[in-house]
Order: sequence, then structure tokens, then C-alpha cells
Amino acid sequence: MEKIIFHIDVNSAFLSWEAVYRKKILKDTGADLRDIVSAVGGDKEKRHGIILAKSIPAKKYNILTGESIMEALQKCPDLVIVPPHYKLYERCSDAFREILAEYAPVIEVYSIDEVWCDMTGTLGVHGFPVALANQIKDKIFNELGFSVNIGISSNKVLAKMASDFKKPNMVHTLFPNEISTKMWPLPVRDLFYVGRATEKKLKNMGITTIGELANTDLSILKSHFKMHGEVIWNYANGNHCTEITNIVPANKGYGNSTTVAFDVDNLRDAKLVLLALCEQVCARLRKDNVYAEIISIEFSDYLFGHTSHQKRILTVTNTTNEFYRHVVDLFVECWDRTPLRKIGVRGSHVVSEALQQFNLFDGDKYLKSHEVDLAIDSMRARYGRDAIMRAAFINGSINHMTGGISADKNGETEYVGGTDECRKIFQ
Amino acid sequence: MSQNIPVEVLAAFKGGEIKPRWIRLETEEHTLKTIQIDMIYTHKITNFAGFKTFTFFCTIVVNECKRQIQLMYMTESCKWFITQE
Repeated sequence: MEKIIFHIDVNSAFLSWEAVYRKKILKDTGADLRDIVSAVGGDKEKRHGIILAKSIPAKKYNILTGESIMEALQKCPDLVIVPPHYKLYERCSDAFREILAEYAPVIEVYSIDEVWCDMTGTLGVHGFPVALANQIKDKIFNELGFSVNIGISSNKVLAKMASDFKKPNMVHTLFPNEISTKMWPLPVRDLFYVGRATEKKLKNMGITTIGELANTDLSILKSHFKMHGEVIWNYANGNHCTEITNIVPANKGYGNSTTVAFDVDNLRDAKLVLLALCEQVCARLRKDNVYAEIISIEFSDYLFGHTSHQKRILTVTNTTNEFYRHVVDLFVECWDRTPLRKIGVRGSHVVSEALQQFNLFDGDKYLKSHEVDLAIDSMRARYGRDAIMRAAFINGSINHMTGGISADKNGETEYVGGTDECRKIFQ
Repeated sequence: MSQNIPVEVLAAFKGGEIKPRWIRLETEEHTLKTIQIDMIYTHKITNFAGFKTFTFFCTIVVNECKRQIQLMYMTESCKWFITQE
């Protein structure tokens, strides 16, 4: 039986979700964000000022996801920028997957706004794939208020390529017999797994379209790109055989990083940022009951120079104090006092069972630290993560648990309105 | 700007149905006024952006004048609003 794979991609996800929330829930009287030149962007003051999602009219001004808000405003001074609300996006993503679960036996989540569904064998239940895809697309639009693109094919890569064709609110097919007409004329950058660097190398080799890549001798690509060459050659020819699975693979590593609102130029502030990151990383390790064996740090200075350093520790750990001690050692070894804007911490080579070799004299200390950490975790789980914090962070500008989604990005927009508006009813 | 006006509502929850009966609002003289819902014409359930809401299209009598209003109930936050389409 031929495989039928759907790839469902929300159009301008963050922006669409913001727009639906404003129009349908807040009943905002302003213009629909999807119809004007608008974008979801971070906070410039906190140096998180990049474009996270943009509207389709904003694409005409060549505003790109990932570029700074300054650059975007230079391209279009009238650009409307709204702040992100990640809790809202998680809610929209869950609602969208709930609808898909009504139709698809197996769903693989690729990101917050993209999923693959294995629809093989559902012909008798739901009908022809294109009709079914249109039905799903319309149901999502009517019930949740935002549009999606659905790509249909016989494997994951082709389905993803199909969903990237014309947007918004469309269904496209890309079966193997359609590759040469629908996919090969596209620029090579549109191919899955071809980024800016690979595109540049391919252009230097005279390869500009997916078709040219597909018809290039594999040995030439392998000599230039090693294994990656074989991967993109297979994708260009529509070859991909990975099964769709709803089993989420275990994390290989746990890392968090932060762009600090000011340049970190002294060791005290740097240590506080590192401690805040360690709190977050170790809390995540403990939550999943795993221990890290390799500890690494990375940082970017104010000139965007990047440095990373790592070490394998003698015994695995998820204790904040011990993890932090190793992180500081690594940091002191490689920091040359250049002011820093971004700092990251990571624990990898995770194992689920800890065989700890205690120091002859400090054995009790580690056990006690671990117990304190578990007690703190349970307090934070019950009363919020600000329920307890280290004294070093009191009255400081650095959040005591840094990394991931900060509290201000998590909050949902407050409903506005009040007694003044209430009086309208009596007029 | 949002058109939602938070409002206190007295409602009957019976047999899986919700029926708003009274609303309480503040007047221009800053006194609270309780108004009975005259009639519920229809209601709809929506799930936009994953927020399950009930919207009731009803009438109230204010100053001897019938007025049509829409009441929105958000199930998760248990909040009521006077709203407009």
C-alpha cells in the first residue's frame, strides 16, 4: 500500500495566532494583523529584538524572520510590531493538534506549528487524500480561526516541500511522479536541509535549482559535503524513508542560554548569569531524572565573536551547586574579559542512572545538596518559580532562573475594559 | 482596542446548559445596578485560538428600553464579558 503522508504547516503561525486572539477573543477594533504590514518581535530594550514572524503583506517589503527589528523598521517604517505570548501559541498549537488527532492515527510533531500525519490506510474511513486535506484545512480555519497549508505525498520530505508551495490556506500534492515538474524548477535554497552556507557552496559549483542538484553526480556532492551531500541529493530526488512516529525521542542534552540586557564585563555579573542558567538546566535535568556527564559553556561577546568550552566530569551530576562549580571553572579558563552579550550553559551525555564516586570527605555534602535541590524544585512546582531564590539575586537585574521562555513572554494579554466602558450600556 | 467589557453575571447551570439570568454593572453615578436578562435568543460555542467560549445573544431592559447585548463566557477562566461581533 502506498504511503500517504500529510505535512500541516500553520501560515505565519505566531502572527496568525496573535491576530485570531485579538480579533476573535479580545474583539479588537483595529485592523487584522494578517492584512497589514506587521510582525511579532522581541523586546528591543532587552536586546531580544528580532522578528519572530511576519504577515504576508510584510513579505513584500522583504522583511525576514530572524532579522533585527531595527533592520525591519528601516525596510518599512510603518511596520506594526506586537510582542510575543508563548502561552497563547502553545494553546493554539494544542488545539490544532487536537483537531488533527480526530483524523490521523499517527501524528509526529516537528515544531510548535508543523506536524506530519501518517494517513496511510484511511481512504476507506475519510475518503481521498486531497478532499480530506481540504476538509481538515477548512475545519481548522472555521473552528480555530487561523489558516494552514497541507502538503500531501508519499514521504515526509516531499510532504513538507509540498506544504511550502503557494500560501496561505492551500492544499498541494507532491507525489514522486510530480517531482520533476513541481519541485525541480525551484531554487535550491527551498530544499529541506539546504541552508545559507550550503546554498553558497552549491552556487559556487553552478547548482542553482533543486533539479540541477538532483541530477548532479552523487560522488561529486559527497566529495564536497561528505554525508550531508548524500542527504540533500536524496531529498532532491524525493528519497526519504523515515517512518512517522509519535514517540518523542529522549533529550540528548539540556541547555539554556540568554542574551543579557547589558554587556557583562565583570566576573560577578557573569557568575550570576551562569548560576541562573545552571538553576534552569539542573532543574530540567532533575525533572527528567537524568544526570549530565559533559558540561559545556558558550558565549558571544559584544562584537558577536563566539567561544565555547566543555569538559567531561568524573561523576555525573544534576546538582546545581556542583554543576555551577564546573561551569565557573570552564568560564574562568576561557573568558578574556571581553564584554559579553550572550551566555549559554549545557549538560550533555545524559544518563538515567547515576553512579557517583564521592570524594572521601565530601560525600555527605553532595547528598545534602541534592536533597535541598529536590526540596526547592517541589516548592517551585507548587508555588511558582519565584517562590524561592538565592540571596545573591535579590534586588538585582538578573533573573534567578534564566533561559527558556521568560515570564514576561509567557503572560497572556490582559483583557482590557472596565467601569468606564460599562457605562456605555446605560447611554 | 478591545470591545470586551468585564461584567458580573448570575447564571443558571442546569443539565449541561448555561443560562445567564442577571448582570450587574456600574452606572455613571458609580452605583451598582442589577439588570435582568429579558430573553436569550440564541447562543453559540466557539474555540477560536483554543479558547472555548459561549456567546449569548440576549436582550435586557434599561430605562424602559429594550437593548440587545452579547454576553461572552470563557469556560477556562470563568469570566463573563459584554462583547460585540
